[in-house]
Order: sequence, then structure tokens, then C-alpha cells
Amino acid sequence: MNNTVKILLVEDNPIDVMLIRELLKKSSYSNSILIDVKSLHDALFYAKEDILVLLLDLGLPDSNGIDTVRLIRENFPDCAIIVLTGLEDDTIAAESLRLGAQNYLTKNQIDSKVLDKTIRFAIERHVFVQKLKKADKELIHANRLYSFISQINQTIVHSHDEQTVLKRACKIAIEYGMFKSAWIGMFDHINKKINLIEESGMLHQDIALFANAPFENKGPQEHVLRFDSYYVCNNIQADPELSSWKPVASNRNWNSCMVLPIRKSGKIIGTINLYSDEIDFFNKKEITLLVEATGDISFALDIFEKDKQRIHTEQRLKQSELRYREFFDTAPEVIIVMDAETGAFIDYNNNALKLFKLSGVQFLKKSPPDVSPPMQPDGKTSAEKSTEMILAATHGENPIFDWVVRDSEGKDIYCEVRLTVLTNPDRKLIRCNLFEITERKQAQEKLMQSEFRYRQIVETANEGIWTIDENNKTTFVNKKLCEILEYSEEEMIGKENFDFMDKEGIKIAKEKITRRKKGVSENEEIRFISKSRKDVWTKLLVSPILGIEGKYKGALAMVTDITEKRKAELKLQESETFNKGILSSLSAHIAVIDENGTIIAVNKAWDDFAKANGATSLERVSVGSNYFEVCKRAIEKGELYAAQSLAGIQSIFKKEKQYFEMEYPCHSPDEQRWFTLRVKNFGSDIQKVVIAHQNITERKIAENNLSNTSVELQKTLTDLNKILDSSIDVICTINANGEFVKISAASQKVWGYPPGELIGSKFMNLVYHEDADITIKAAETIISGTQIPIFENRYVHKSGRVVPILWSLNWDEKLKLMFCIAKDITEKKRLEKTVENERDRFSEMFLRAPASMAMLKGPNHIFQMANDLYLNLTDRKNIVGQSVRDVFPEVESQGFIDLLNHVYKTGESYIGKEVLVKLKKPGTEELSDVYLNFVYQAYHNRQNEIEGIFAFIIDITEQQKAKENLLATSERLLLATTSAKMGIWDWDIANDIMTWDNRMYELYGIGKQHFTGAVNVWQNGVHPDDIERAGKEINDAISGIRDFDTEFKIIWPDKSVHFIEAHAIVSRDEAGVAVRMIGINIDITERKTAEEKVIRLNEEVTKSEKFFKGVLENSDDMITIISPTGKTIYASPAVSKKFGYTNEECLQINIADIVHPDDALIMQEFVMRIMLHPGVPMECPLIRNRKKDGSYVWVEGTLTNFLETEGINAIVANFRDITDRKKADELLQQSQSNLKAVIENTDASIYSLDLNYRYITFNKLLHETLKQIYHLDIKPGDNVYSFLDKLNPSESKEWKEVYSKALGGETVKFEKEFHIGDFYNCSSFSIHPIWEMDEVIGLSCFAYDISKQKQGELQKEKMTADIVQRNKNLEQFSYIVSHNLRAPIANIIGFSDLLKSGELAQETVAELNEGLSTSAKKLDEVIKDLNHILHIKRNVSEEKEIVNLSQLATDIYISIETLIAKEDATIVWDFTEVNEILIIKSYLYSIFTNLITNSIKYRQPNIPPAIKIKSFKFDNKIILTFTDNGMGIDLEKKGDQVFGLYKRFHTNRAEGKGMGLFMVKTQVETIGGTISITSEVNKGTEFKIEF
Amino acid sequence: MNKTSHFIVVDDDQVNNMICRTTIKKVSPMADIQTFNVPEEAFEYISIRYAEKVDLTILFLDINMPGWSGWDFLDNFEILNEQIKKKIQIYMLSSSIDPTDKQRAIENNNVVGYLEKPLSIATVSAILDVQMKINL
Repeated sequence: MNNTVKILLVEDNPIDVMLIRELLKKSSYSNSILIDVKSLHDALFYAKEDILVLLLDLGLPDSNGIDTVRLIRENFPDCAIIVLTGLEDDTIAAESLRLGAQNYLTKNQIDSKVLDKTIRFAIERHVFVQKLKKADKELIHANRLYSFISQINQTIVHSHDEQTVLKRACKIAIEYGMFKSAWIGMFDHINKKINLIEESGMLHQDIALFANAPFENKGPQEHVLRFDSYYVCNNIQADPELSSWKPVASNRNWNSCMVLPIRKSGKIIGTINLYSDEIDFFNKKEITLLVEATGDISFALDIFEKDKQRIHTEQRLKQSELRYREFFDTAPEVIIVMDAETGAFIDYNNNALKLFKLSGVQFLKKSPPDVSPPMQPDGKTSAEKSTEMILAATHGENPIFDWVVRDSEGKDIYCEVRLTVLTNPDRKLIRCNLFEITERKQAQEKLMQSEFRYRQIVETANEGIWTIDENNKTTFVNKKLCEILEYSEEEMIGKENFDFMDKEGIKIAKEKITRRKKGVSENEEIRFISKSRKDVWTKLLVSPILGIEGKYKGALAMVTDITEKRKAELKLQESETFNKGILSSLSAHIAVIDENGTIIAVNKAWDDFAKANGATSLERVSVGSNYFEVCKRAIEKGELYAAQSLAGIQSIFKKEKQYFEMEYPCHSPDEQRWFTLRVKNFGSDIQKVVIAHQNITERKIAENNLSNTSVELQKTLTDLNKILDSSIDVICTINANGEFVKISAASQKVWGYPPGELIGSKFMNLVYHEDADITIKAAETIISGTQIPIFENRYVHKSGRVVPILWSLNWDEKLKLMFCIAKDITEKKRLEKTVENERDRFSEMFLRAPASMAMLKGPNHIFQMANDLYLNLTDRKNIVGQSVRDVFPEVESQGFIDLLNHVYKTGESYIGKEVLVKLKKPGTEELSDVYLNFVYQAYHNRQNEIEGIFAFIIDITEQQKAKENLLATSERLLLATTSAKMGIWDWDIANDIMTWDNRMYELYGIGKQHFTGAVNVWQNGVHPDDIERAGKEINDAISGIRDFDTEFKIIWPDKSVHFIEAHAIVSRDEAGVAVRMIGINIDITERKTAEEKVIRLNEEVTKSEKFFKGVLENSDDMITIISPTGKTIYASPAVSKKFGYTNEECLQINIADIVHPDDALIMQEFVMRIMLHPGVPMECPLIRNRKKDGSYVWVEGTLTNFLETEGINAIVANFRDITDRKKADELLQQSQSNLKAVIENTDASIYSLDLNYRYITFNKLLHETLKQIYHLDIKPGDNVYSFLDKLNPSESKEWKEVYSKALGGETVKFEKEFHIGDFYNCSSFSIHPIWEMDEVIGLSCFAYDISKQKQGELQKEKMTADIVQRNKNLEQFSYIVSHNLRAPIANIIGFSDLLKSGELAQETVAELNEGLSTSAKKLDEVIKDLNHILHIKRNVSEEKEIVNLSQLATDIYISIETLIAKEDATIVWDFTEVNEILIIKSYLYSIFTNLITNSIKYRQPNIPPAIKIKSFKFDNKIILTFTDNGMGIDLEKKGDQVFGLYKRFHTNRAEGKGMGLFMVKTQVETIGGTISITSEVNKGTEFKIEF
Repeated sequence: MNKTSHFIVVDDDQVNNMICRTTIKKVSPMADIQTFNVPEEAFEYISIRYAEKVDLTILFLDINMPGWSGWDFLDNFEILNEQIKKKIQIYMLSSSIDPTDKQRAIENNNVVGYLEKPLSIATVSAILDVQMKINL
């Protein structure tokens, strides 16, 4: 031991000083330097000298007793103090020791040996305590550092933001790091300033100082920036660089400082500045740990930054969600989300609120039945149905159904609802999409109504409806058609339409069908054969039914039964023919001329007459020639009547007259003829007139004869006048007043009055009063025109005698005189009393009968008398006295003489009925037919002998002739009249005799026996509605106002009503008095019914036309019909509405002119195409058409080439304005391009797949990503499967499952990591099904690259785990360290306490002292170990070198050869595979040594240790194995502690400290390797090291 | 203090065992003290001897030991029968200042208290006082 130590002796007694010096010289401390001072004050002067031992006298001049010890102790902390005192005071001694003195010596005790021992002991103890102190300080230092780092790390782990970490870091620096001050500043490079972020332990003014200070050129911050490394200064006052800061530092007692960079993303952003009051505070250890701590902070900042980015990304995702939300909210439909369990609404979009007219809050309280009427249209309650549908949806169906909702105002709205289950892990949700379909529903209802109406119409239609398919098979017929054809529906369906036609019909129909296949609709008339084999004439409106692409799919026919109409038409035709026939058969010559005089029509009589009269050419007078010309020619010839007739005809045309009639002579060379000309309007046609010439010659002659007779009579009268007076009978004339005008002289004789007395007096004065009445009547009768040739009354004679007078009377209308012959028949009366009765009867018969009468006498039938009628009839005169044979020679051959003979002989009367008698006209040989009803009756004389024959004859010639005529006509037109049900009647107006043919009876539904021939019988039959009108029309016809052409209804006795069409011609006598009416009746009931039907049908057709027109005109579709030249023939109103042209302008437009120039070519090509496909509707490409205002409208349309279709011959175009749609399209495109821009610029890979897993679209990012990772160059249309199949089977399967799941309607989200070689990627995928209506039509897929986040997360996780582990290790380390440090210290304390307690046996004290010593040694070892460990842990700066393993092993073997020999161990090694390692050699040496000695140490007691060492390469790593046959370790129990510090497992091995394996592991890990162990108890252990 | 008290000290640290022995003797000179360096041996001793002996015994148990740790000892002690367990009052005696060790000791039903080394006279006195009171 080197005893050269400094000893300070504090002793005021110089003797004691000398003594001590002497004693010291004798001690082993003779070489030591002894300094002696006499006072405490002087002693303190040496306080800073390296005094090792201080010998202290307690009694000093300036201090005394125990205080001295305390003061010295305080000022000499590092000295060993030995108290020297003269007193043997145990109290002071004990107190001194307590205060830190090392020993206590009484002065009298002292000898050199004692002093020597005491000093040595003191020094040793002092050294020991110093060591202890130092260890304690280091321990504190270590603890401080570790807790500082631990706190920083905890802060990092628990904080999530930069600010917190930095703030806490400053605080921790002060609280745990024991720094005096700390601050953190960030560089503001722009302003060259430091922004103070945090501080702790700083003064306010200093903060301002730092915050405002610019970077210094050579300041610590600048240093950090420039060298990218920390700055440390362990003595500020001594550092020239910090000169300007020295005063501040000095004021704040800062002696050391350290400035550490804070980095973010590798870049220095600021510094942490730490100040300590200690000089040399920052040693290597400290610096390393602080660098590490700031490194951790920087790393944390990076992590936060990444977190921030991640949060930012998350926010963006949220925003994207918001956008989805917005989309959801703004979706055009109503979307509601419901809870599947409760049905409650839990989400909704804006439209939902609009629909229900509810606020969001209100809405969320509802469930479906709350917003619906109680019942749904299908009869279920809303609650029931909603539950049912939700259930269906939760079972995986996607129900779509109609639903009526009721909004808050009680309005019901029709909706279509779709339910979709949403996958949500928490609860089952249902998305409910509502589409309002109220309009659709209404339209549907309307349609249904219309359909119903339509069906009604179809079913009740008077038109049959018939559809056939392309094979002509019947597919549909309606009821009416069945009725028409008399088949049932079943019989018709499936049959060909040809089956209902005859051969001719089939031929026509087949041609038509060919046309139908070209798309032509048309009308046709076809005859079908009904089931009962009747012909059914039909009118068909046939339209082809065209399928897509204009393919013929069949035809639809509207069938109208026109059989009745046809029949009616036929009848009408027949009727016309018949009328013509009648006209022709009329004897009058009739012609119709127009106002120019052109003859339009003539009847046969006209032409016949013309021919008979030698018309040179019929053309001159017949149809086509001009009647006026005819007249003019006649005028030129001098025919006066012609001018008159021309004027008359023209007066009709001029409407001056309605009717013109004249008689004119028209004598032919051999015959005298008279005609009447009658001119009247041709019915209602005022531009035509009817001219009728009637031959009236016979009448005229008769009239002329009559007038001749009158003239002769006058002559005779004049002659007679002379002989009047000579007559025995009174001959007189009486005027209208009944006064005698003339009277013959016989009046004197017969009545007693001379003529002079009677002239001027009334004849009634003479009449016997009893006969006055009959006489007046007779006179009236006679005056009224009825001839009463013989009249008898009684006159009173002047003498008063009653004289019977027989009058022969004749009233002359013209003279207004009655010519009378009055015969006194008194004598005759008296004489012929007996035959009076007969005479009376005869006279009555003869005189009163309206018939012709004659009396024949004798067998030769001599005319006794004949009345005027008879004479008229027979056209004979003066026949009395002549025989019948003489008078009528012509009748003998006709059997009449025989007849008369028979009557004369037998007395049997003969009654002849409608007997034809041919009579000769006097003076001619011509026979005329006379029809007679006659009676031949014999009359007897007084002897009752047949004296003669009385003939009573009624001439019925006219009737009979008419009848025959009619019958003949009837026979001729039997067929026609039969079918036409035409009856003919003849009315003799004068005699009021109506004659009907047989048909008439049938027409009126009565038997012949019921017909009395009177007009009123007819009248009874006429319907009351028509009787008045018909009567008037008859009167009008008779009056000549108009022709009788009418229709009326009649009622049969069976009450059935029938329609009659009636025409009649009125015949007139020469006075123009109607004498006769001939007419026809036609039963037109059927026609009428048919007509009514036709009218009805026509009305319907019109309606239907109106309908179609209405549809066409009101349609928004622009329908135009274009001619082959492009000209518009028709344009529906929508065209003008849309384009602004007027309809007229539309028709001027050539379609090519308004096509946009850019579209012209397209249009041209299209037109060519149409031309090539006649009849096929073709979709027009989108083109623009110019409006009137010059703007363009996008249209699309269908054009059909009907140019070859007869009836159309044009192109029919149906355009729609799709400008809006186009605009929407453009917007869509724009939005799509916007979308595309978004898609291309997003950081997500986006792609979409169709149902066949083909790429529809993808963005560039996806394309590049796939190229980069899989070297795959995808194109749209590529199948993703062909790509997936290249992946490994499990991954491929996984993807396919994902896609098929998404195609099932589910949105699939997942994260996926890709490790391909060195490439790492992690992406978040979301695969969405693309819905169209309720079907998935594809997938849209998004992949966000979250590799960086993921890596960050992973790194953070790893780092956190690392930090936690390190922290745990550090804690563990510090606990273990403290335990192992504390153990010996505790022991020392224990020993001290025991020693202090006293009362111990001597050997116990020795034992305790020994224990104390052992404990101190152990403490020392622990501290050394610690130092060693810290050295390893932090000293990584040692250079790596190439180590030869064999050499290393050999070296170690040699170094422990003694041990190996002692333990009889064998060591073998095999480094053939790897013999050289680049490594820190000292570590490897230590590792080898530790493992080898361990194996030897823990050998099995009876087995010599055998150790094998081997090196090899595996998986790019170098592996070293150490195998032994030692005791082994129970890894199950102790595995986790094998490498722990101070862990021992073998109780009886004192050698083990539990350091070896800990050291090995520390060293292995420090150089970047790992170590593992496998072991079995009593078998051996193998350590495996990997580098 | 007149009564013979019984102690068992289990610690691999011989020095501690000596301190314990001396300290206990200081308080209770008549005390019966068994010290064990190996916990397994202590356990064996207890499981055999305490099956018969009825003396209440205070056991000072160290935590950090090679082989069985104090915890291992407690785990094994737990499975001894109640008769034995009732007789042993275990105090953990450790130099560890790890609060988790202390917590773990307190939570163990068989541990009466946790003592930090070194064992002091006052502590032993107090323990004996407590035990006496229990016995009374």
C-alpha cells in the first residue's frame, strides 16, 4: 500500500501535534504529508485540498465538542475523520461516529500501532464509503436517466399529438431527468428565428430571450442544424463558443448544456435544449440515452404526422361518406331505412320527407302503417302487409310491390316499393325505395277503364273483331264476329280465315295477305260463308300486326256485316230500275232538261214519239240534245206554240212559276193531235225541269164535239123558240132566282095563267105546298150540276086544282137558266094508274142510275131508249129504234147478240163482270177496248111476256186498263216486286175508287176481304205519326205543289210497324183537276233498319276516326308524311308546335332543308336505307332539325317507307323531340367526364365489372398498379377470372367468392395485404353491386392503397411493442439492479444495526464484521457487473473485424486449459462451413467464453463435460450452435428467465451469479443477432446463435 | 417473551440468514430458528415435520432465489393441507423494492406480511407481539 497520503491534524496542543507526528513517523504512514493546524478556521482553509485523513481534536480554540465534528464533516465530505480527544466520553464518541467520524481515539490510548491501524482502518472505511456514495450517485444517475427515458416513452405511448409529447418532454426533463431547465424551440427558417414551443424550469425573461433570439452563427442551434447532430457543452463558462451566453448561464447556474435535434420525416425541425447546473453533466452514457430519447420523440412525431395523414384520409373517407349521404339525400326516389325487427324508420332522405310531408323528427317516430291508410288496395291491412313484406325481405327476397301511403295531409299516394336488406353487423336493416306511381296508377286505372270500355265495345261492337297469326290461324274473335258468321268462338279459334270463304274469296284474301305482309292496312269487302251457308258480305278494315323489325305477325280485322246494306243497295237498284220502268211505261212523253235546255233524260214514250213522228235523228230531240234548240227550230218554222212553251219552260227556270201548263195542237199530216205540255221543277233540283207532253187528242176531240153539239143546240133552240108556243106542254126557262124568264103559251091551259102573268114571278108560287120541299131540293140539285132530267111535282092551277106536272129539266150553267118542259100529266096519271109502280121504278132506274142504261125491245133488240151515259159510253148517237146488231155490228162476233137472245128467250138475267167489249169507233174500223160490268135483264109487258131487255152498264175500262197495265207490270217485274215488296195502287180520285194489287195487301198485312177500296182504309193503316204529313203530301201532290215521293210508317193489324216508301203520279183532266193517282208502295222496313244500322256504324266509324285523329293530333310525337321528293304532305300539330312553323309552312318544308348541316350526311344515308327496306319501320339516327327561330332540336324517330304501299305512297315519319334528353345526355357526359376526372385523379384504384366478370372500365391507377405488381396489361373487356386463375388457388377462390357475393347484391368491404417478392401493398377494397332497377348489372370496385398507413400502423405497433418491451426490460433491469444492489446494502444495514445494538458476544461481533465485509464485497461486485453491462449495452462504437472462428476457439481453449483439465472436459468444433465472421471480436470472445465455461460449470456430476461447437449457413444467416451434455435447464419452468440478469437455476452452484447468459444475450443482440436455447434436464443444452 | 417461539428462514443468501438468526435471538433468545438456503428443502421439512408438530411458526421467505423462487415456494405451500398451513405464518422478506412484488405478496392468502430487508429487531418484536396477541 502506498502510504503517501495527506493527513490534516487539527490540534491546538503543540505537544499533541508533536506526539502525533512522532507516532506517525513510526507508523506505516511515515511518508505521508502531515499538515497541522491549530484552529477550525485554519482547518477549513484546507477544505479543498485532497486531504485523505483528518485527525480532529474536539477541543479547539474556535470550536468545541461535537459541533467541531459536524462542521469538519460538512467541509471535508471526502475525508476520513478520526476524532482525537483527551476525554474518554462514550457519548461524544458515539455522537461523533454518528456524525460521520470514522473512529474515535482517546489521546492516552494512542501509540503508533493504534494510530497506524486506526488511520488505515479509517481510510479503508472512508474509501469504502466513498465507493458506496459513488455507486449510489451512479445508481441515482442511472435511475434518473432510465426514468427520464421511461417517462418520455410512456408519454409517447400515451400521447397522440406532437404538442403533448413536447410539452411533457420538457416537464419530464425537469422532474425525472433532474435537469435545471429545458426548452424546445422550432426553427423558423424564413425569419431566422426560433419559435419557443415549450419550456420548463425557465425564467420568464429567458423565455423572451430565446424566443426572440436569431440563430447565432456559431450557436448551439446553428451547430445542430449544420452538423445534423446534437451539441453538447459540459462547461459553459469554459467554452469560448458560448461567450455571449456566459452571463446568463452563470446567473441561472447553468454549467452544462445539451441541444438535441428534433426531427420530423428525417428533417430537423427544432431542438430540445437541456441545462444542468453540474459541470460535466453530459457524459457518454447520458448523451447516448438522450440522443435515443430525442430519437424516440422524433420518431413519435413522424408517427403522429402519419397518424395525422391517416386521420386526414379517414376524414376524406368520411367526407366521401357524407357525399354518399348527400347522394342518398338527393336521390330522386324516396329512400327509407327501416329496422327489420321493429319496422321503425331509422333513416330517410329528403324526398321521403317531401313525400310524407313530415319533419325528420316526426318521421323517425313512424313505422310503415303510421304513414299508410289502414287498408291497402289488395285488401290487406297496412300493418299485416308491411310485416309480411319485411319478413320476405329478411328472408333474402327483394320484394317489389305496390303500396299506398298517406301523407300527413291525408292524401293517398300510390307507390311502388322495393325492399332490400342491408347488411349491418349490429342489426338487420331494410332499405326501402319508394317510387311514386300515382300518375301511373291513375293512368293504369284510366287504361283499365278504357280497356274495360274498349272490351265492352269490342264485345258489344257492331263490328266483328278478328285476329289471325302469321299462319292465318285465328287467334281472337269477338262475340259480334261469332254472331255474324254464326260460329261459336271455339269453332273459330285455330281455323284459317280461308275456311270461312268460298274459292273466290280465298283467292282475293290470299292476294291481300301478301300485301298485309308488306305492312299495308286497308279496307276491303269480302264475302264469307256463314255456318248456315249464307253469304255474309263484310267490310273489313285490316291492319297487319307487325312484330319487332317489322316482321309480319298476323293481322287484325274489323269486320262489319254489310249484307243488309248490300241487300238494301240491291233493292234500291232494283227500285230505280223499276221506277225507270214505270216512267217508261207511262204514256206521257217525259224529258228532264237542265237550265241550258240540255235534255238529260227522256222516257221511252218520248223517244217512241220522236221516232213515230219522224224525227230525223233522235240526237236532235233525245238525251244530249238541246230542247231549247228544238223549240227554236219550231219557232223558226212558225209554230206559235213553240215560243209559248219555251217562255213557259224558262219561266220555271226563272222561278216565276212553279208550274207551267199549256195545251197545243200538234197535228201531223194525217192526224189531228193535241198535246198538253206540263213543266215543273224536277223535285228539289231547281236546275232541272221535267217536261211532260201528254197526248190529249181524244179528250180534245170529245170536247170539240161537245162544243159543236152546243152550237147546234143553240140553233135548234132558236128554231124551237118559234114553235115553243105551239107546244101543248109548258116550255119555260127559270133563272137562278127561281123566276120564270120565258114561258110558252101553254101555261094558260096547264096552270090557268097566261105567260104574261107568270114571267118574272117565282115558279115556287105555283108549287103545291106538299111538294115545295122536294121541289126546292131538286132545283138546288139541278143548279149544282147534277142532272135530274125528269122530275115530277104538283102545281096549283089558277082555279085551285092540283095539277101533277112532269118536268123535264136541264140547267145551263153558262146561261144560268133552267130549261124546263112541264107536262100536264093529270090525264096520264089517271090513265096509267095501274102501271104506276113499274113506271116509277123504271123511271127511277133509268133516270137515277149513274150507270149507262138502255132498253131493248123485241127479239131483234131494238133500242127503245138509251141514256146519255150509254151514248157516251158507246160513242153512238140516235140509236133509238135501231137494233143492237145495227148499232153495234162488231159485238155479234163477241157473243153479245147470243147473250141477248138467251136473256130474251129465257128471261134469265145475265150479269157480266169486267167483260171486254171491243167497240168500233164511229166512222172507223178501229176497235177500242171497253171493259164493262153489265146486267142484262128481261122486262115484261102487262101480259107478262118478255117485251125486251134492260141493259145496265158500268164502264170500268179505265180501271180495268190500269189494272191490266199494273198486273202486266207486276208480272214482268214479279221477281223484283216480290223481293222489293212493292205494291201498286191506283186511286180514281173522282170516284174515290182505290185499286190495289195483291202485293199491296201483303204490304199492309191485311186480307183482300178487309179492303173496301176507300182511301180511309189506307188512312187507317198509316201510323198516327205520319198520317197528317202523308195526307198533306197527297193533297200537295193532287194540288200539283209537289210530287208524291215520300216515306211513312204503317201499322199492321198485328200492331207491327213497317216502313213504306211511296211514289205516285197524279193524272189530271184537261181542267187540271186531279182525277187519278197511281203509285207504288215499297216495304223498306229492312232497308230502313239496315240504313239505321249503317248510320249508326258510320257514326261509330266517324267517332273512331275522330279518336285516331284526336290521338294523332294530340300526340307529342311529331308525325309527318313525306312524299318521295321529301316534301311534307302531312304534319301533325305537334310538328308545328315543336318547330314553330305554321301548318302551311310545314307543308312547304322539304325535310332535307331543316336537317342540321352536320347531320345531313347521316340523314342521307338513312334515307337510302329506308328506300331499300320498304314497309319496315326503321329507327332514325339522332339528328338535329332546325326550328323556325333558327335553333335546332334533337330528334329521333321511326321512319317507314310506304312508298310502295298503295293508298299511302309516302314515307311516314314519327319523330320525337329528344333535345331535353340529349341535353341530359350531354350533361351526363359532362358529368361522366367530370366523374372520370375525379376517378382518374383519386388515389383509389377504381374498376367496374360486368356480370361476366369483364372489366367495363378502370382508372389509370388500377391499370398501373396491376402492371406494376402482376405485370398485367388489362384492357376493357378482359375477364378478371383469367387474371384470377393465375393467382394461387386460395387467393383466386377468395376473390371469386368476393365477386359472386357482391353480384348477389351485397357490398363487400375488406382489407387485403399483398406480398409479392419485396413488394408490399395493403389495400382497402370495397366492391359494390351496381343496381339497375332491381337487378345487379355489374360491380364497381374501389381499392384504396393503405399500405403506408398500414405500414405506419404496423411500425407503430411494433415500435410501441418495442418501447413497451424495452420499458419493461428497463424496469426489470432497474428492479433487478436495485434488488441486487439492495441485497448487500440491506445486509450491511442489518449488520450495522446489530452491531449498534450492543450486548453481543465477541464471536458474534466477529461474525457480523465478517458478514459486513462479505456484503460490502458483494456490493462491489454488483456495481462492477453493472458497469460491465452498461459498457456492453452502449459501447457499440467498437469496430467490426473479420474474426476467424477456429482461431478464436483455440485462443479461448488455451486460456481456460487449466479449467478444462480440471473438469476433464472435451471441446470439439466444426467451422468448416463458416469460419469467418465480420463481427466485434471482443463480444464474440466473451460469448464463446461464457457459453463454454457455463457448460463446464453446469456439468453433470458424473459425466465428463463434452462441448460441441458448430457453424453453418442457413437462410442467409450464419448459425452457431453450442451443444453440451450438462445438467440442462427445465425450460418449462424457467424458460422465460434463462437469459435474465442474476437468474440462476442451480441452487448448489455458488459459482453462478446469473450474469453469464444475460451477458451473452446482451452481446448477441447488441451486434444484431438472436440467441435461443433448447434443453433437457440431465441430458444437455444447446444454444443457437443466429447472425 | 418467555415462550419458545419458532422461526424458519428461507433465503439463499447466507448472510441474510445470519442477520435473521442474530436479530431473532436478540429479541427472543430462546427462539427455535431453522434456516434454509434451498427453498425445496424448507418445503420438504415443513411438509414432514409440521404434519405432527403443532407449534405456530413464523416463516421468513425470500423471493429471488435460484431453483424455486419465493413464489414457487408459495405455490407449493398452497397445496399443503390446512392443518399444516394454519401453523405457518409466512412473511416475505426481500430486498426487492419492486412494488409488483409487494402487491403480489399481499394478494397471496398464505402471506401475512411483506418485509423489506434487513430484518430489524423492532420488526421481530412487533411480529412476536402480534403473535402473542393472536395466541391469547
